[in-house]
Amino acid sequence: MIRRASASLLLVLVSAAGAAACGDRAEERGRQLYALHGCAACHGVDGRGDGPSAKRLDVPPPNLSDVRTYKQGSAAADIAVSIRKGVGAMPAFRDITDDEAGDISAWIVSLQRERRSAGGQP
Amino acid sequence: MRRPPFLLACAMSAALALAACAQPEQAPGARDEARPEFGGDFTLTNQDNQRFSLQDVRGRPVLMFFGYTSCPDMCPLTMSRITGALSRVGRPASEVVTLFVSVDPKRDSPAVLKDYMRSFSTPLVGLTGTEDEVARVASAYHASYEIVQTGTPNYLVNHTSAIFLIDRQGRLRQYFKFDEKPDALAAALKTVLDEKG
Repeated sequence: MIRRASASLLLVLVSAAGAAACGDRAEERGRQLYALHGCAACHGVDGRGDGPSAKRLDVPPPNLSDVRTYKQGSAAADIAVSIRKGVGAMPAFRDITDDEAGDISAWIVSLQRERRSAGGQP
Repeated sequence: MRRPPFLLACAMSAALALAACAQPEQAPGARDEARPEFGGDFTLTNQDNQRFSLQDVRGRPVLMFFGYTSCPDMCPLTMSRITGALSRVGRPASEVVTLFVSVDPKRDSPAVLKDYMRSFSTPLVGLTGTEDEVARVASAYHASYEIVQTGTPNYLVNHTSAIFLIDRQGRLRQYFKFDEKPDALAAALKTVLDEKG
């Protein structure tokens, strides 16, 4: 009985570690894709909406780490849809694949998490 | 040397300006040895405030497009498309030179271009110049642009959104409309990359 419980616990721990590692890899890929596709031109290197183009745009890009600024949802799936289909003043980046959009979204969600951890609102 | 008919040249200009067709266009006679009427060498100023000539990168394939650093839509999309094409090409893509020619030289100084280029991890050469210099390059490539006031301190610049593919000899080989898929661009790039300099 104890052996079975230990095995189950180990399985849960391994699965959790695997999921975390997968998430980390997606975030890292997303960070690289964000830079590769030049998202920082408008959104800034850290996603704060302070890219070099931002100051001359009539509709300022949002701070991606602040969930209050999202118009179509701040979850990873929502962000991926916004990337592929466009939202507000941002055009649809149809040449970014679903997988790439998913990875970029994972990285953006990590920015939200960091902001919360740092005590930012909300 | 055959000169392209005048009407054909006009049609090319109109097609580039409208940028509405889904298929890539082969520049007529672009494989001929000389086509000074369409494309060709030029000199502008890069983001490091150095003079840059197309001749400087002779021997390497070039992707070139016209844009401006505060472009809210076409330029980021074009760069994303180029990035997609380069990633499909793989390692040989490191030979390709990507040129961003600003059609907003009034605001896009070398320093502004440099700041903008830092946003892309894809190597990119930003080019600007005097208004006359930029106009001459755009004219040589049958590209058009026009300032559009928005009623705010900012303004937009409508511009040709094509991507121009220039081969190792500096000849314009092909241009791609704004909605062309990265796969088509990558295939054309591979063809040019496979050619010896």
